[in-house]
Amino acid sequence: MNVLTPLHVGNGNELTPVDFYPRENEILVLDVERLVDDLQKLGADIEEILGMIRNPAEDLYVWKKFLTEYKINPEQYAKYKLKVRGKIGKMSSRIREFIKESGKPYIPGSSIKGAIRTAVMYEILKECGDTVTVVEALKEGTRIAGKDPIAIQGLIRSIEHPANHDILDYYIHYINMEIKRALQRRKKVNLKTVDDLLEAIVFGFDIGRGGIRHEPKRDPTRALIVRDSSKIPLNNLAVYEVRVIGADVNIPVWVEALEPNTRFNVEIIFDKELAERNSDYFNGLLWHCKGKELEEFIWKAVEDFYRELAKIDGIRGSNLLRIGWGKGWISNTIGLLLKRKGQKWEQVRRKLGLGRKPGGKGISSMFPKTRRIANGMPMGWVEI
Amino acid sequence: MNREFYGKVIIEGEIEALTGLHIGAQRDTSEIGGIDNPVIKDPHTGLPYIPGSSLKGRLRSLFEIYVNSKLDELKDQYKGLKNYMKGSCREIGKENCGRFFNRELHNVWIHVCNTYEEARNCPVCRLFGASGKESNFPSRVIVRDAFLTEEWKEKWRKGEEITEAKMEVGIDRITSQANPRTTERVVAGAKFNFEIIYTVEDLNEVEDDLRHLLMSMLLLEDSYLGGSGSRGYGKVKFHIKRIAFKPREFYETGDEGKIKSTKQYKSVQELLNNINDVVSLIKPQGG
Ligand SMILES: [Zn+2]
Repeated sequence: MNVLTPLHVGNGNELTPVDFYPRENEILVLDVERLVDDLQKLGADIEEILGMIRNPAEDLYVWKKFLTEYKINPEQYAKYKLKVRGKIGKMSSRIREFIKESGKPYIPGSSIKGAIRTAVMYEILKECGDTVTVVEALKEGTRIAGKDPIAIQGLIRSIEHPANHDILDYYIHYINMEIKRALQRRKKVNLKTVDDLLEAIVFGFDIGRGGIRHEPKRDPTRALIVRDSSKIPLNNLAVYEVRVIGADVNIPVWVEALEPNTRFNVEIIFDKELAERNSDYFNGLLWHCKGKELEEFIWKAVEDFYRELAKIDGIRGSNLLRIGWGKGWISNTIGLLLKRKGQKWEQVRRKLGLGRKPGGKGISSMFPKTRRIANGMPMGWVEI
Repeated sequence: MNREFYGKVIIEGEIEALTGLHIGAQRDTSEIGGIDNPVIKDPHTGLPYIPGSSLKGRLRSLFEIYVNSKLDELKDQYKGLKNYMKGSCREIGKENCGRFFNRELHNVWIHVCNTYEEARNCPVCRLFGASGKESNFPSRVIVRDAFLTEEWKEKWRKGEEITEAKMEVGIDRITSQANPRTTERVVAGAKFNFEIIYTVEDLNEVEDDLRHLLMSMLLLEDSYLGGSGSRGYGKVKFHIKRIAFKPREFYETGDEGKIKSTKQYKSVQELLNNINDVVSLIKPQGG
């Protein structure tokens, strides 16, 4: 894969001013442990060091005093250097760290696979999302799961409702019901689980007392093995200033990101035998509709979905994919399809609070209104 | 039933995790805070290891799939396979339905021959054993627990991290909300010493069995070991250090001079290409 625009996959950590030493246009990421050790050996007061670490001084150069006093060259304690793309702003800035293994960045297979699965969900809903096909898939899936069809008859009836043209009409209605139910319990809808039922219907499911839920073992994308990428040399990382465009309040964040033109290897395997062996076990809309041509369909879905998205971002190229953090709602979701539902979706979107203005109560009338820009570029585009 | 003993073939080497490796510990044995999903560790040292049963189970499973996909061709050669049709009993929901994957084990359908005679004539059960409903066929293959190599233990002593908590983010495909969780995994590059022992019980079947064993190892290199394999974890490679034959006479006398080794073959593929060298250790006349 070749990186086209800055790509960030976080590991959940942030580098704080204690972890680095800024210089002109670059940042040294320090081996703090070793530095503290050596400072102590040179006679520095540990209490003073700890005090400084706990309450970093007002400026970025937290280590400056010690380094000057003991005539230490920070270069000697640099684990690696990061070029700065954009402005390193406030003195208290934190940098979101890139995921690494044994100190080297890599792209997790799960990030790539997640991006592929989003495209697959989009494409299958586009091609096979009509209520007739979905209901067929649910009935067939229930038979495969060896369960009593009564358990999902309610769901099937709701989907078959004449007001629904396709599964997304039903799903918007379903989200509405969930919001109502949550309100009755004086709770909020959990935004992390809104897609759960849809994921089960599309990718494969089992049936329990609570209805149907996604079952990874019944999910045919299990046959798609995406390896973690090769390790990527540290000098491909830079600090990018990421701004939110279109927001009223604008607080930039800083991330370690791979620079454009970084290349790395990824191995993707479609395990035909696994797919074949489980062919009487997989269920869901994807398997029902495209089981026999699953592998070709996956790549067609990626091509179609990311071509649509690339148009929006003005990215050119073929075999495109978008991965990592900062992609925005449209790339992370089946938003392209939801937006076609017009007012119906718009109402649900407002109730879910998507597009809420930071700080205030209001919800933008345009969504998505904001997008993230890393030193002028959209994030996460790669070429396969 | 007739069992004989001619000696043991011992394959030793290192198994390297090329991508992070997650072999999960039982939930109740985990004491680590913050990590949702810890890896299995040796209770004595606290270091991660690869249980022999996990490795063997994976080799068996990959070989089962291979045999199932070539079942019709293999039937002529292996009498035990005559009783089976391709496929799994899963959809019928009953064990021993006549399909190849005929036994349910923790919600997974596997292949196990039901009688000693059947297993003796089945390439899978002959090699990996069968705990049949009627009689057992003991496995000809033993896979030892694989512990970290000295080199990696040394790294650990020096304070290097052998496992890392990896954060993975699930994203809701309607709201774009992130749902992070952490999984512990052994870092890529980590190496473990492995030992696989094959007991020679039938000289006519040695070559065939060893081929199948090595083939399973090759299949594993292109598949994965442990959890989350389809999302990048668990790509492994075997580095062969030594392959030796300890004949019956060695066990009778303890004379190490009786042990025979081939020249060095580093990879499984290389070894498989030169399988005759191994076989000729066991059957010197080449017959
Ligand atoms: Zn068998």
